[in-house]
Amino acid sequence: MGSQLLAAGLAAGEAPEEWNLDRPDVVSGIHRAYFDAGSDVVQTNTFGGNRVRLAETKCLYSVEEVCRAGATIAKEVQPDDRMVAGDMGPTGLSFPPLGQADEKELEDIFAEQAAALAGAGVDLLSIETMSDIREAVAAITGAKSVCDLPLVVSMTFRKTRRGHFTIMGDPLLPSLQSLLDSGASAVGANCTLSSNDMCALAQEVNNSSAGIIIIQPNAGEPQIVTDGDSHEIHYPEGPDEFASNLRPAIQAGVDIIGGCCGTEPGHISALARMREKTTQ
Amino acid sequence: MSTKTVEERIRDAVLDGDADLARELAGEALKSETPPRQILNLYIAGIREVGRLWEEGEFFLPELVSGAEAVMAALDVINPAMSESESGADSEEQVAVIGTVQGDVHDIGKSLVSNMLMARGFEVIDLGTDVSADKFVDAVEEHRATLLGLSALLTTTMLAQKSVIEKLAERGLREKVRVLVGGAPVTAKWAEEIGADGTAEDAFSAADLACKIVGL
Repeated sequence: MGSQLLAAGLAAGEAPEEWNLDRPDVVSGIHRAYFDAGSDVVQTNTFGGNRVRLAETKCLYSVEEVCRAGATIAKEVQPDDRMVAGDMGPTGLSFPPLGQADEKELEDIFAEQAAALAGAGVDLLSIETMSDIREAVAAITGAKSVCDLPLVVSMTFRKTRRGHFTIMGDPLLPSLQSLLDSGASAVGANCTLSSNDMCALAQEVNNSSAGIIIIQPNAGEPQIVTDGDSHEIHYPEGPDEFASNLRPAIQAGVDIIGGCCGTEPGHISALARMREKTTQ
Repeated sequence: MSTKTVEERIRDAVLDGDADLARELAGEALKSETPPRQILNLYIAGIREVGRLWEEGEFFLPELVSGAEAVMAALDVINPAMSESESGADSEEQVAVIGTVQGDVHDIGKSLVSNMLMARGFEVIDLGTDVSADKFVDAVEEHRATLLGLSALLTTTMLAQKSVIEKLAERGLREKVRVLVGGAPVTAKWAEEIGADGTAEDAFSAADLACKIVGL
């Protein structure tokens, strides 16, 4: 969604969620494109739709307003056999020593957003791009305090010499287990890792976990392409390369696969074709 | 059980991120008449060890931040002693201006670099985040900075680093200051392309590079 909005003219530092009210046609078009490409689930344009992030981006609208609008737009174009996930990203607040956040505060913030999304009729909640297990658990707890929707919870891991960790140092498998123990219905990873690396992470999780797994890789690492005085951001992995790299994950039975930064509807169509090819 | 040496206790205070202990040990060392600069070097050795453990994938952001805070706590005590003992020294103070570029609010990396530069003897003017090109250039001029650090965490905001360098040139200040750029998407190729003087992968090597580049 983010990449699509930037392509449609969203400025750096502008709150994407504002477009749910100011340019709903653009947001609607993006959802339609993803449903047409074969998405079983689309995520609402509410990644930063919590009160902390909205205040930071000086958004003109409230949590309730952007989340209700975001959910409604997606539901209006939702085919009968597909789903709409209410998207919830991190607050940007950190626990000590990096910041002053505490669990209760975060639970309230996430509860507020979850209530707005659930109230607007989403089918499930997608909590994603979490770098701190404590924030992720607070999101689960907050969401569960206001609704019964299934929770798909995804964290962002980096590859290090010692294995996969978040930037805060949370290790892959124990973190995903904590998420399950806290009440997540599906767990996994999104962002930072490209399709190859994410596929390897998926294998690692698949081999050990008994849960429903989700992965959403980036389309490679972004590069700046210079053309005279103008610079464009280019993600190197095209749809076919992306889908082909993820084939092992499909074959291994990873339950939910999507795309994060740099992916477009084309990547999803390629995935859908690869799925058909693989499960034949 | 053998008692630890002062060096070991200081190193451990930094590794453990114990700011109170770090400050206490610095005070004790000063009382025992160890030269301030020598004491500071022990803390720098500690933070280098933190950097090594970060490289190894053993330490993560929380450890980096509390390690840096421990060093800053020690600096609180060491700096006054250092200016006393080195007053009249011929080395001119190096001033660094640092900030995160316009449109970007990420600050952890930038603040770490800020701390590391302070530990290495720079006077640091930290402009915070979402800083316009004009504000950077004004600060360089006002403080007669010898070093300018520009941080960006997003590929989208990284482009602003180029604008700042262009503005420095426009205002005739490019030659007066060395510019280092940094942040997750920043590469050596990008740094070269926009005419920066260098880039580094992390706060520790950034401080090393900064010292080298201004001749500290």
